[in-house]
Amino acid sequence: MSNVEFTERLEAALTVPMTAAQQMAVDARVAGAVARRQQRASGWFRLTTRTAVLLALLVFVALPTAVFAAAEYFGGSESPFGLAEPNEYNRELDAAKADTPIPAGFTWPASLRAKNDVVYSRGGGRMQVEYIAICMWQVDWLDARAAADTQRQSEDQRVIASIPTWSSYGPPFADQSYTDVLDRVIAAVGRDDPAPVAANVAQNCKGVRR
Amino acid sequence: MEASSFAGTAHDESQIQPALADDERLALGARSNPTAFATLYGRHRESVFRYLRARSTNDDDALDLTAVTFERALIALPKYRSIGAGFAAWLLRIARNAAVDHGRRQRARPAPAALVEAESQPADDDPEAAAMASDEHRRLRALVRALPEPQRDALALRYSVGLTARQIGAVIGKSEEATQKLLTRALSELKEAYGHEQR
Repeated sequence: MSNVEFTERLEAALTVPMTAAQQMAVDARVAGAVARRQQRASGWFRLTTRTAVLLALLVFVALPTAVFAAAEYFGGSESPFGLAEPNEYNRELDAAKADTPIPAGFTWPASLRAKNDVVYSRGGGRMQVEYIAICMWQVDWLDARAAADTQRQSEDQRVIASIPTWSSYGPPFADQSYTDVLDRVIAAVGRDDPAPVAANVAQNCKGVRR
Repeated sequence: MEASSFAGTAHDESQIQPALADDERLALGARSNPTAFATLYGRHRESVFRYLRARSTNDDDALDLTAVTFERALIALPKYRSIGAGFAAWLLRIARNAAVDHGRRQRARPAPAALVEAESQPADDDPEAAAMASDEHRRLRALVRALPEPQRDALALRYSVGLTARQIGAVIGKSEEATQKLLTRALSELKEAYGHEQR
């Protein structure tokens, strides 16, 4: 093997991107860290900037334009999300898991739990849960289609078509780019076109499986 | 020449400079404009994680340390001074220190030989992460981690983040020339170890 070929392999091994779930986990922790710093109101993080910092962080993390929609929705200058301690965040995850449908045979990843000593953004838990569930339904639809299981495929399609009614699809969580992706998936499932769904699963749902 | 073709891969300084300058502007601005921190976070989150993953035995540790890095950066940002190597080098130095601190706390952990085994077992509780890593990727990352720390750092900073030798030197506290030599030696040793595994 040439050195160039070897360094290409090495680069590929060391630049595997973060998964969406990993991104959200770090985003939530950093947003929490920023918020804790704001709460201490020290240094340049004065109380007057706390909303700006939190919102700005969220702009670049999981909830792009949703933040502005949320601020408008709540009509105040404080963060619309607030903070959640690990216990509260776990309760949020549990509540979301309890009322979010997933296909038969799938289970929630055990990693979907809050870490101790971390402050989370309130509302992020439900978004995480629904994001993973949406992936599961897409995977199940592809599997059902591949197995020519029309009954299961039809049930999966019904659930996928209902995604626009889920919390994470609307304000204050989703932005246009997020809903555009889901709309393309819903449309593809509706016309029985697996390619866009498979592409989305490969891009955004890596590792989600039974 | 084979050795120099290692060290010369990609990373054109002239392309890196504008990004460096923009980072500097944001880092200095972040002292009074919190939005700039969010921009820097969005820009460097992935790089910091990749570097830390190249050093860590599992993705969970890398995620924890990524968050710790930005938390520390947040505290240190008011004291940030441009030293010419760029904001990324400053941030990755924080990441490196966080990883070193973590390593000290984990001293009782297994030796490098055991780390290969540890990573080759997919984590049941994180199917996303497990699926992301192919066997070859895991093997190569394990071999990188088995290298002595300076070599491991140099390779991780070069190939997971794309820093130049000068920037890597700023992170690990070596001259550009010494870093270049370190990179060349590290790649040779890594390739040899990889070749042994393939046989």
